[in-house]
Amino acid sequence: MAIDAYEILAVVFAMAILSWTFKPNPVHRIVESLYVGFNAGYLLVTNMRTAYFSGIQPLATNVILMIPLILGILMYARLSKKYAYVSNYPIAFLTAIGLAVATRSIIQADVVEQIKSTAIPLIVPTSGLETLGNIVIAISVVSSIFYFTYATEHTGAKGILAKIGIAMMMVGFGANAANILLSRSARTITMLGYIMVPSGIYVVPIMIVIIALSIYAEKKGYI
Amino acid sequence: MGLSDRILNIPIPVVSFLMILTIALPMVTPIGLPIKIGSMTKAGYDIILGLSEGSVVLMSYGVSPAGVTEVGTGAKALVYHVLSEGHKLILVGPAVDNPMFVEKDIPPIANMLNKQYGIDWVHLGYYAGVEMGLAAILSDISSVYTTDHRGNKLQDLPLMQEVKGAADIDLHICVTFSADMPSQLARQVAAPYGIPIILLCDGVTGTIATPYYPTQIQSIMMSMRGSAEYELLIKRPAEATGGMDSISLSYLYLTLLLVITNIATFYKRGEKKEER
Repeated sequence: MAIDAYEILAVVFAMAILSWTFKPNPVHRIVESLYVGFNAGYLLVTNMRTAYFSGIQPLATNVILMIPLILGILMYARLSKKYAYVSNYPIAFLTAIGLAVATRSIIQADVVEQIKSTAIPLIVPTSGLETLGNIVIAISVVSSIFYFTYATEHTGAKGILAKIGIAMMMVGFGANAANILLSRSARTITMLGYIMVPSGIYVVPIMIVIIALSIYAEKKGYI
Repeated sequence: MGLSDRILNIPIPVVSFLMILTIALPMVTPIGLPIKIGSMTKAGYDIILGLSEGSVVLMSYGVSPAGVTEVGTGAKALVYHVLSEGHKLILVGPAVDNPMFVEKDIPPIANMLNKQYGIDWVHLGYYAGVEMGLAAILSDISSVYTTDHRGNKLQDLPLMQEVKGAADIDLHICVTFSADMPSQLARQVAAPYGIPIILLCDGVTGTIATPYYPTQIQSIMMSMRGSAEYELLIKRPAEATGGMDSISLSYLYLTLLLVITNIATFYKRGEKKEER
């Protein structure tokens, strides 16, 4: 059987990360630091590459790129205590553009379209399930919005409506929690997929011993 | 210590170990629980089928180390379907670690389908600025990219001669595990240009994206479940389909834990009231 170094590395790293579930240990911390280091290096190289290809290389034909380039360099003024204030200019520039780009269609996307989605026929003669769904949407939207209306006291019928609103929100939070569980289970499955490979038969027991020894050594104060 | 106290104080390592066991067991001996294809996933499949041959698809390949476990396999299934239907694919990435996954995942699929780089598909690489970057790409691709990820000039790529901006794009597929992305898609893709959107995302983002379905985001595939459904739709079961037994069993285990601990909590409250 050919030895696959990448596969072995994946088992070692996956075991080290999973070991945190049982107890934080030195092996886990080493692998975590390695990941942070690799990622930081990769981020740096990729960002420099992007800056070169989209900012520096086309400079010969597009001089206007000099402006964002200078603004980008000014960001590094933050590294100096004396000139840190200079970095506020590119930040202000970025914030302004970001806000403008985001708000230009916010009314259409987050207000008009959302209202259109809610303004649906309550009764769908061909589908009982769709009718039920549409009624639930209508009730939950009205009651949830009413819950956040503070102009009037939530008593009597208004209190019941506000309570329905909070109940609907709880259902929403529950669905969200279930989706989070789905996410976490999916991540664990792939993580276990890294371990459950042919070389895992040998590497997993070795890693268990190494992790156990590291926990013991740390407990005794050797490391 | 009573039974309710014991249940409420189960050590976390035990809970975690049992969780890992429920996930690992079906991986060794598959149970084969049925998977029902949801309407949100089917909608995405129908959109791709409904496009005329040679349509241009802009795909934001947001697969990175943190998200590959959830959306990686579904993203590959989408790429396979798009290319096998004869559509053109332009890949971009909103995070710096996306390009390495594109270069790892896409060439084998393209080679398998005899698709040529530059003609049938192009990898433009990472774009900075997330929402601002996306807006700029749709407005004018050449304002963001002068070369592709491999260093080729855009004017040397035949596909990029036909595609300049949003007017030339027929579909946007977004693979993401960023909770901000659904609203950004609605603001920058759906509202100004009306381009149909297929979203493949993690479970958390899926809940946030649901209010935009189906008027602004026409299809949402959530996590491994959505990926498994898509793999079945294109009749190419892979990792996600294989993982669904584990997902179902882990849900069963968690539901059981929720029920038992809730019963124990109520029982303990009753005991305390009696003591008073």
